[in-house]
Amino acid sequence: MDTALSIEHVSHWYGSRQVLFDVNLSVPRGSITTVIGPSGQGKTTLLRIVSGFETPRVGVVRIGSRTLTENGKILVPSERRGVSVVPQEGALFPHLSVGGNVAFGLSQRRSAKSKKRVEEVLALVGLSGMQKMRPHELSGGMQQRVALARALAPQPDLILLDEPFASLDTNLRESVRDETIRTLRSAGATVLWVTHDQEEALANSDQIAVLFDGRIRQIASPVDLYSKPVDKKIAEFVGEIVMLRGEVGDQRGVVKCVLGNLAVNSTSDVSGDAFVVIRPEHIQIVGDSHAESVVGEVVSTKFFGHDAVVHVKLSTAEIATVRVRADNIPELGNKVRIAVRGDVQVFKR
Amino acid sequence: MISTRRVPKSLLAPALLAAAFSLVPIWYLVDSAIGSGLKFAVDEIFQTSTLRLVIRSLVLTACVTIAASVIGTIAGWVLVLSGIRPRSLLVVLLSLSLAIPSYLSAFSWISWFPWMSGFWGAFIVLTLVSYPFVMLPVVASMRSADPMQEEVARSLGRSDIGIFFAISIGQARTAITSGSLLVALYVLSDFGAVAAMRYEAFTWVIYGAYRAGFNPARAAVLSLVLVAIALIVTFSESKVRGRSGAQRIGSGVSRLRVVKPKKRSQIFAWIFSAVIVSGGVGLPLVSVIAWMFRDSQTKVDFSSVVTAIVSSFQIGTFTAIATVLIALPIAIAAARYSGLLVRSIERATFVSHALPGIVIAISMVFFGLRAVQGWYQELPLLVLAQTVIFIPLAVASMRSSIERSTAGVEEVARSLGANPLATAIRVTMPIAMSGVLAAVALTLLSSVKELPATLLLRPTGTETLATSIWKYSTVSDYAAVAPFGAALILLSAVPVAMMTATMNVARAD
Repeated sequence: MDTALSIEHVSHWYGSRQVLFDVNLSVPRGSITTVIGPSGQGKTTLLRIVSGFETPRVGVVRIGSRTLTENGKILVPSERRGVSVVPQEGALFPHLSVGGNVAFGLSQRRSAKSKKRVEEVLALVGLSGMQKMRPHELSGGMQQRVALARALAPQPDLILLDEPFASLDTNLRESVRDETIRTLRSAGATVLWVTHDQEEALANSDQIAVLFDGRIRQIASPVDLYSKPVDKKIAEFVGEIVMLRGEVGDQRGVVKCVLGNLAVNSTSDVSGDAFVVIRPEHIQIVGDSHAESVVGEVVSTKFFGHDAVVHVKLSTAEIATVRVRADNIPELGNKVRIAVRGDVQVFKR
Repeated sequence: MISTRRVPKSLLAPALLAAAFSLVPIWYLVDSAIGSGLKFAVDEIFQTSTLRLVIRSLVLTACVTIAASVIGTIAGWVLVLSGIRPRSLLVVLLSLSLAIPSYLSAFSWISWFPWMSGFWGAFIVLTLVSYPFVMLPVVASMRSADPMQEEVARSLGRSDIGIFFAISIGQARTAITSGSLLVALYVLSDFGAVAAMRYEAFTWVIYGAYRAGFNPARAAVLSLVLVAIALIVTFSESKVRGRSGAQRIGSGVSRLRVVKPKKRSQIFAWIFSAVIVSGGVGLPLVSVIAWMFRDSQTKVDFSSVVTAIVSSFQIGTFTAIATVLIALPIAIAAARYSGLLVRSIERATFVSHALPGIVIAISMVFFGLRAVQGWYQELPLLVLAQTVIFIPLAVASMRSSIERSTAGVEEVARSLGANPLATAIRVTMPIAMSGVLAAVALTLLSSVKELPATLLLRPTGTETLATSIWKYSTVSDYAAVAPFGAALILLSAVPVAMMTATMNVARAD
């Protein structure tokens, strides 16, 4: 697959404060690449650099074979980059109708061809025939879909999504997001998407880049990111974890902790004192006969409907979180026997 | 959303120039004040007569501010909570006194009650003219306040009056404070009412020092003292507005307020409204009509009225165009960008907001004498002075309309292939247009009403509506005032009525 966007060695400062540190990222054509990370750590800045509203002091940004910016110089201004933006609140033009908004980026806006294109993309986002409506007459979700149609209309090389669902209600967010992803997929668009919601990213991306403190910590597929995070902080950020103290002895590939001797994920080369990181769904409540199991006391339970989470206090006073089926929740204060299945991650302590 | 990125140079340069422009008066005042030596300036400030002047001005300001706050708050209660009908008509009637220039109101009182001249006359007139500055924000804040709070108070056993004091006043506290500071600023800078009532407050004495005594250095020194007091008021006002209290905790759509009108409060509301409206609007209107049928010592031919209207509009049009052109970059910068530089530019216009018209006029005289000698008592200098006076008004009006759209729209336009110029033409301008038009209209009509700068700087031989009213009123030839007064009231009543009517409509949807 060829590369639609490549960001090479980009560093950026606001005044004297450095906000991006040597960022490298390439987005394959036709893929959805997500940048996740806590708020205020450089995600939006990265998007603004790609769209041309910030110029990085160091580094290169390319789209296809065109160099957009290089070491502090803008070579291609925003309006000639072919990069459409869908911002957080939609930012529809309040003085234009829905049709006028969608046609904004088309050349010869009054031509029959443009009219047809507007119809096409409005149909794509499920708003056929709404050309005459005004933005303020639309619900938040509809406004967001118009913003998407507007971004798609000129067939850009790249679409940037800047937390476009963050301002929507929880219920609405899910349906608008799913529709958006479906639309983008069927249009074959290349997407760079910024979000702080890791679940959203895991469910919908081809590739995820994790940005902490202005640095890219890991770039991986959703599955790899979840099962093989490169450090403890990422493990914690992309889902729930149980963290225990352990020790990797002479025998490589095995870590010793309160839950027994556990097999370590093959990529690790940690030795000595370590943190053992386990996903709650990899810990099970087992019968007495199970080998490599330990007993703990149920200290709290949380019911979620489809499943539940049980907190078990172990002999070292460490707490293990166990995900169980909703029809199988043990009583508070009971002793249960738990065991780990599969590999675990270890990180240096 | 406000962008944190730097202001583009194409916007920053005109905004900086505009800000510097609105500080020109201060520069010339300081220059003229210490022109006769620093010792002279210091001596002037520490004279007993200056101290008396400060006290007289502050007493008037304090009394009017208190009275206008009480009346404005009660008027807010009448309009929002009393359940009075027809409310929209009363909103317009109670706001209409904003449209009456203070000097016209003052002369109409004097013409009936000549003994009122002095403190009491100035106090009554200024209170009746300025209470809408408190009433309008109070109405807005009482409307947005959650009616649940009143219901909770009632369920805890409070009576109507108890609820008004314990809940409603509390909800409107920020609005009352910021409105009353606006009143204070208005009273400090008003020239027309105190001059008509011959109450020796700052503005009138400054005018006298300049005109009668031709003592420009004293006028400049006194102006600076007045500016210092006004600045304190302005900055307190911006502080208060900044920390507007939480009107509502938690989100959620609140139900519409349903007021059950009670007979006793209805009667009170009607009597209150009748008294205030007849004092603020009724009396000037009746006066103007009554004057029409009096004999005049001067024969007023109607062509002079037409000439006055034309020159008022000519000055007003130039002023409005100049003001909006200068204020637009500031409004865009303030609405779209943040940062120290932008805030300082905005502050600079605050400063000119605190400058009374008479002070700006006098500083422009100095400016005319020093910098542009050919301009004294020519049209450009008057337009310049009025422009400085009305910049804050225009900035506020345009800024709020630009802020209504999110900052992202310009960037989206760029990303869709519009270059900066096309973005300005296709996006920024159309969005700002309604605010620009409102600012033009507002500035034009304020310019028509404006008295002190016009009086001092008008081209020789030109009479406007405002100066004609002044000219005939000061010699008590009220019959001659009538046609000019009627024209001026009509012209300024239309926008006030429109503004308050739209305020009502905006609430309905």
